[in-house]
Amino acid sequence: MLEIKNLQATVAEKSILKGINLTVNPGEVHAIMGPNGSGKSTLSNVLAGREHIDVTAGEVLYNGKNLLDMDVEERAREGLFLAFQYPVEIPGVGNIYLLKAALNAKRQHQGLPELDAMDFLNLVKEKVKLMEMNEAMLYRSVNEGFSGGEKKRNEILQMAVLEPTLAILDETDSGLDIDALKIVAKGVNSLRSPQRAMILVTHYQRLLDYIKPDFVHVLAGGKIVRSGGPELALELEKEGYAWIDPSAKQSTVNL
Amino acid sequence: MEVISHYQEQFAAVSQHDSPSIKAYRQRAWEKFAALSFPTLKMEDWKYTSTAALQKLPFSVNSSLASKTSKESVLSRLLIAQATHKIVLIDGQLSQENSSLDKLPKGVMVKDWAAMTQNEREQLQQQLAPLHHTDGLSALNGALVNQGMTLEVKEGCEVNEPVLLVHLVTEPMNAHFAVQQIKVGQGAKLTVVEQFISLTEEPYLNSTVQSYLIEDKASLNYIKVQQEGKEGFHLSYTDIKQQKESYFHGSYFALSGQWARNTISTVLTGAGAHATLNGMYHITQKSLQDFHTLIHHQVADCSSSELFKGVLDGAGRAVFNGRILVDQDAQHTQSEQANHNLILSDQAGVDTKPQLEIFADDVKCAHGTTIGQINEEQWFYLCSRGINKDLAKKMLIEGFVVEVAHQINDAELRLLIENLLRENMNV
Ligand SMILES: Nc1ncnc2c1ncn2[C@@H]1O[C@H](COP(=O)(O)OP(=O)(O)OP(=O)(O)O)[C@@H](O)[C@H]1O
Ligand SMILES: [Mg+2]
Repeated sequence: MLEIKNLQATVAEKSILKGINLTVNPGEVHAIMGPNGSGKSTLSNVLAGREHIDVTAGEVLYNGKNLLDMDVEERAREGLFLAFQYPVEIPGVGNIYLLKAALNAKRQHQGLPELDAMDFLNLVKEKVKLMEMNEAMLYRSVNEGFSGGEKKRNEILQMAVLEPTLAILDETDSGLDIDALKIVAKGVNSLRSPQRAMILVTHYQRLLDYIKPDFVHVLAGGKIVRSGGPELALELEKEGYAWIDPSAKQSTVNL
Repeated sequence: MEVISHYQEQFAAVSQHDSPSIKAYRQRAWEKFAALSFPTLKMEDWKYTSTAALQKLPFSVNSSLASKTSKESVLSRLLIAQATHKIVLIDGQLSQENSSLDKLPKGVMVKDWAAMTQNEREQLQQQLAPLHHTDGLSALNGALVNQGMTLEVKEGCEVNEPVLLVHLVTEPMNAHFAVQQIKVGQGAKLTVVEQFISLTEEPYLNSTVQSYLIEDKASLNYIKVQQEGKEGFHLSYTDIKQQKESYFHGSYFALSGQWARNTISTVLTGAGAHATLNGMYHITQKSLQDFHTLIHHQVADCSSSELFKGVLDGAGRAVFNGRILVDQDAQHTQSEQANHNLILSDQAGVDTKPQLEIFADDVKCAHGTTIGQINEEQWFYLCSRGINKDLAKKMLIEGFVVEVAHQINDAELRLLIENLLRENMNV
C-alpha cells in the first residue's frame, strides 16, 4: 500500500529526513517511535502533503501511484488521513461543516452522490457516540477552545467518519487520560481491517497495549535505525533510545 | 467648480415648492456646503477617502419619477420577502404595493416624506440641523433632501417582528438625499433591518442622514445591509442618542458598491446604557468601504462593544476609524473594540485606526487591530481532509466574518445574515 524509498527532506534548508525506507502493507499496523525532534512529524507531514517541507530525494508510492505528485486534497480523497500532533483551531468553521465538506469531497471523488442531510447526520451521530463525545461538539468551531484531549478525540472522530485506507496518527495518545486513551483506541480499532493500514507515531507503550502493532520502528536522526516486532517497543520503554542510537545519549534540544 | 453649479441648479429646483421656513433651512445648508465643499484628503477625517470620483459625476435629484418596477422583481430582492412589516421605498418614494404596514402595533407611527406636512418637515429638519452641518457632504444632504421617513415607537410598545426597511434604486445617475429618524420611546422595543439594493449597475448616489433616539430602558436592534449596485455610491451619517439603561445593537454589512462611507456615532447619555456597533465589509473589486465610528461615553456605568471585520480582495480598499471617547465623568465604563482584516490580494489594503480618548480613570477599555492573510496551517488542515483549496479558503473566510453575524440577537435574523454572508463569499 505504501512504499517509502530513500526519502530525504529538508525544512528551512535544514536536513531532517535522511533516507527513510518503509513499506506498509494492507492490514498492517506500524508503530514509529523515536526521540523528540527525530523527524516523526516531518515524515507524517510529508506524506500528508505539507508544502513547506522540501523533498530532496527518494520516492513514495501509495497504491502504486506517486504520492508526492498528488495534491494534499487528492491524497485525502484517495484514503490517506493524518491525525495531527497539534490539531489547529479554526474559529467560525463548524465541526460538522468540516465533516460534511470532507465526506462529500471524498464521495464525489469516488463517484458517489452526496449524502442527504438525514443520512449524514445519522452517520456522524453514530461516530460521535463511538467516540463518546458530546453532540454539542459538532456545532462548535473546529477545535476552538477544545481541551488537548478533546482535540485528539476530534481527530479520531474525523477519521471514523472519513474511513481512510491509510491512517497516520501522530502522537494521538499524547495528552490523553486513561479513559480517553481507551476511547481513542476503540475508535482506531473499529477501523482495523485487512484492507486498511495504520501508522502510529507514539512515545509510549501504553497506546500499543490497546492497539497492537505488527511492526515497531525507531526513527532517530532522520533515519529508521531499528525495526522489529511489538517486543521492540517494550525494550524501548525499559531502556530508552541510547542503546540503539548513540547520538541520543547527549540528546540536546537546540532552540 | 462645475459640480457645485450643477448641484446649485438642483438645489433651486428642489426648493421651488417649499414653504419659506424650509427654504431658509435649505439655504443655510447650501451655504454651508458652498463654504466647505467636498471633503479633501487634507482633512484629518477624510485622509484616506477621496471624494474625487464623486465630484466627477453630476447626479440629478429627480423626485417625481414614477417607478415602473414590477412587484416580482422587487420581491425577489428583499432580504425577508415574507416580512410582516415592510417599508419599501423605490427611488425614495414609498411603494404602497410592496410595503405592508397594517400589522404594525398601534404604538408605531411611520411617515414618509411625501406624506409629511410642511410643519412636520420643518420639525424634522430642525432636529437634524446639527447633523447637516458636520461637513460639506452632510450639508449637501441638508440642501437637497427630498425624501425620507420617520419611525416612532411609543412608550412601552414592543414590536416583536423586525421592520424591514428597503431602499431600492432603479435609475442610473440619480442622487437620493434622504433623512430618517427613528424614535424608540421609554421601555419600547424595535428591530429594524435596513437594506439598500439597486436595479442599476451604473453610478448613482444614496446619501442618508439619520438620527435615532433610544429613550430610557428602550431597545433598538438594527441591521444594515448595503447591497449597492456595482457602481453605486453610498454615504451615510447616523447619530444615535441613548438614554438611561437603553440598549442599541447595530450590525453593518457592507457587501457591495463602488464607494461607501458610513459615519456612525452613538452617545451614551444615561447611566446603564449599552451600545454594540458591529460591522463587516467585503470588498472584491476596485472599490472603497469606509467606516468612521464614534462611541461617546458621557456618563458613568455604561458599556460598549465594537467589532468590525473586513475581507479585502481585488483592488479593494477599506478605512476603519474607531473612536472611543470616555468623558471624565464616565467612571466604570466598560468598552471593547476590535477591528480585524483579512487581506486576500496584493492590491488590497486597509487603513485602520483605533482612536481611544479616555478622560476617566476607573474604566476598562480594550482594543485590538489586526491585518492578516489566510492562515496556511488552517488551510492545510482543511485540505488534508480532502476539501479542495478554493472551498477550504472560502470556509476560512466565512469562518472569519461569521463572528459578526453570530452576535445578532434575533435567532432568525442571525441565520438569515449568516446565509447572506455565505452567499456573498461565493462571488
Ligand atoms: N518549520 C521548521 N523550521 C525549522 N526547523 C523545523 C521546522 N519544522 C520542524 N523543524 C525541525 O525538524 C526537526 C524534526 O521535527 P519533527 O517535528 O519532525 O520531530 P518529531 O520527531 O515529531 O518530534 P516530537 O517527538 O517532539 O514530536 C526538529 O529539529 C524541528 O525543530
Ligand atoms: Mg512530532
